[in-house]
Amino acid sequence: MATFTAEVFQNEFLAPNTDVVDAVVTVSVSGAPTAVPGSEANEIIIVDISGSMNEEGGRKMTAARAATVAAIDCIRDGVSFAVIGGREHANLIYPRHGLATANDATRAEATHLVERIEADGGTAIGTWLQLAAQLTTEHQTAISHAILLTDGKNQHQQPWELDHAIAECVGRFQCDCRGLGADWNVGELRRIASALLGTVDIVPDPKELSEEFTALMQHAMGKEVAGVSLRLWTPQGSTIEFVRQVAPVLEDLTASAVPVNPLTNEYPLGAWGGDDSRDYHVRVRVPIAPVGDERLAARVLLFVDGAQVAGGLVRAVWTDDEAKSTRINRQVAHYTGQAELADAIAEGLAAREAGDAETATIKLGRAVQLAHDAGNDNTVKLLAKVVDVDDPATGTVRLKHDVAAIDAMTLDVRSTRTVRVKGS
Amino acid sequence: MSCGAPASAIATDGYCGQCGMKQPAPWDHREIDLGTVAAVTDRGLHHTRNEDAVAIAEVVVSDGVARIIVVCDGVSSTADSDLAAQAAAEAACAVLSTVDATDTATLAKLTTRAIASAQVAASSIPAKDGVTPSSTIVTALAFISDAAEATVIVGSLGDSRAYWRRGDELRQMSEDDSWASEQIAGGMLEDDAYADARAHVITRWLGADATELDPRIETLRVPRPTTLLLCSDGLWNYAPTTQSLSKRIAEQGDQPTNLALARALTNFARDAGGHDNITVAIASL
Repeated sequence: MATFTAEVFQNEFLAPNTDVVDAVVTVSVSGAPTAVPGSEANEIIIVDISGSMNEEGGRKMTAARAATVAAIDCIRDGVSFAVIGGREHANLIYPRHGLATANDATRAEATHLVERIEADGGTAIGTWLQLAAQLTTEHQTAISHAILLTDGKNQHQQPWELDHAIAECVGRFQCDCRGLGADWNVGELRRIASALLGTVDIVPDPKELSEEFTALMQHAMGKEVAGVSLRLWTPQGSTIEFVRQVAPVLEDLTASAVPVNPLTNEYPLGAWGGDDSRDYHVRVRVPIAPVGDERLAARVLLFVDGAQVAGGLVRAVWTDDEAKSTRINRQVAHYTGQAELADAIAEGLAAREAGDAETATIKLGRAVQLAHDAGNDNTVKLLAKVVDVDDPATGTVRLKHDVAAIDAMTLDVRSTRTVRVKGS
Repeated sequence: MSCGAPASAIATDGYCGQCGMKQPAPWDHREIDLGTVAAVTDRGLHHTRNEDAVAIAEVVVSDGVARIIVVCDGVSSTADSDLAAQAAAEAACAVLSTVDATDTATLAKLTTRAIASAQVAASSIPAKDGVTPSSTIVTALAFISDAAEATVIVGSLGDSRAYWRRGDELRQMSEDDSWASEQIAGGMLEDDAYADARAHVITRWLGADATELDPRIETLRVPRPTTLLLCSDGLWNYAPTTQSLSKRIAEQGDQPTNLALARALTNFARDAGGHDNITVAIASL
């Protein structure tokens, strides 16, 4: 049986007449069995088979076929699965209807069909998602997960059509999105992944695709606890400023709140497995109380399938002792810096794109400094492909003149990856 | 503070289910009344919890009666000092309650033992974040064997105080182990010493990190009837000199019971600002 724990990190002391309470909540699961009973899981592989996949002498489509087959091989017996091919509309490649139950025969049939896919046509990602949602309707109690691969932009659909499709899929399945090469749109895939509680990443070279799909599918097979959510009780008269997942990846959950009762909101956290551990930064504004008094700023409750499995308290204690109220909580400060880092990268890249070299230099310099301070070495490396770093400690950088599109995209898509507080 | 919500709206951990206010803990304000000995301890207005502790007892022995008061003030800059103060007060009171002799030397030895026992109890509270909890202590063991006089043994470490009062006369029996007290002993004016920011820095205390553990022991023969008053600095901060405290006590008028007077003095300290936890214990001799 999976055991969940929730741990709250905060400085509960507030200066007189202040009302902002910050806390970082670490939610961890342990002792979970790593094998899911197959019948309780749905897996859908959505692969772009538009004409652009024929570019690079067919390398992309060859890699996509091989990667899809590799992913099919990872699906355990008993899991319900399907393969969708994406053009300007969605094609169900395997099975003919609904979902197939994985075994040696169905995996072989699926592989046979996948190996014969020919790329052709356009890109309308929303239709692909809608078909996936439709396939999961008959298996709604299961953990539903999809892998979505595209190499291009959502050209044959209006943005609102994609948004509409995403909205239909929320809560139906989780979706990990991967962009192949440099011709896709980071914003589009991020919107899908955020709404569908999945990850987004770039696969720069087709030769890396099989390994990526294998890793994604193996990870998905390890998720066995679905229906995990965070409930936040906050006192009357308070405001939830934000609820953010801050590790392993930044994800703003504020808008995903579902009211449970007038004082309680629920935030879906998707499926969990293995030894998952995620951090959340919560900021609440509470009604001010006199010095010496204490108010509960939030009850953080972790729910699985409607039952509470862990919880913690976020407290507010007003004091006129400045030594207490000015104390900085390491976790809160660290993740505040990591959120600023992601913002600085996004703003810096946008300024660079718009030709505003001055703003781009300032923002990306600040990003280098923040990433350096936090020990976020991967982000420092990605930044160094876009700027020449003179001094990481002060954030002194110069914009590089020739930056490969793929390097800027990689920085963009991975800008929300965080590191945890050192030594904790 | 209590938000006025009914008990049914308060969660088991003490927070209101509507406004989230932490409801007062039982030990935020506690009164103990044995009639001849009574005590009030109160969180005050500025501290988030009550780190003072008080224990009182009355023991009848073969040739008289003993009245016992112990006041401990947990040092608020240390975590769990409330637990240290509580453990120390209970331990000292338990030792003093074993009183069975009447001679002054034995009573003084018992007081020394009581404070040693309090030290062991306070030291048993584990440190948090490398800071060991610490506490002051003041004890009074009053032995009444005849109608004319009583013997009072006062033991102390830190700046919690013991006084006796007869008519309009108030006398302090304890001496503070504090910066201010040391300065006054060295010739500084009382008002100047207490105006200094370091005034309340205590120089001796109970706890695992305490280095000077010899308590001050004072022995007195006091005429009867007399009132014995022990308090933490949450009270005497607002009346640091015997003259000012005497005046404040007189202002409370004729209170019908020891508990009523202890309450009145606690309220005086709250009204004066209530910056620290307040403990007042009173015994009739």
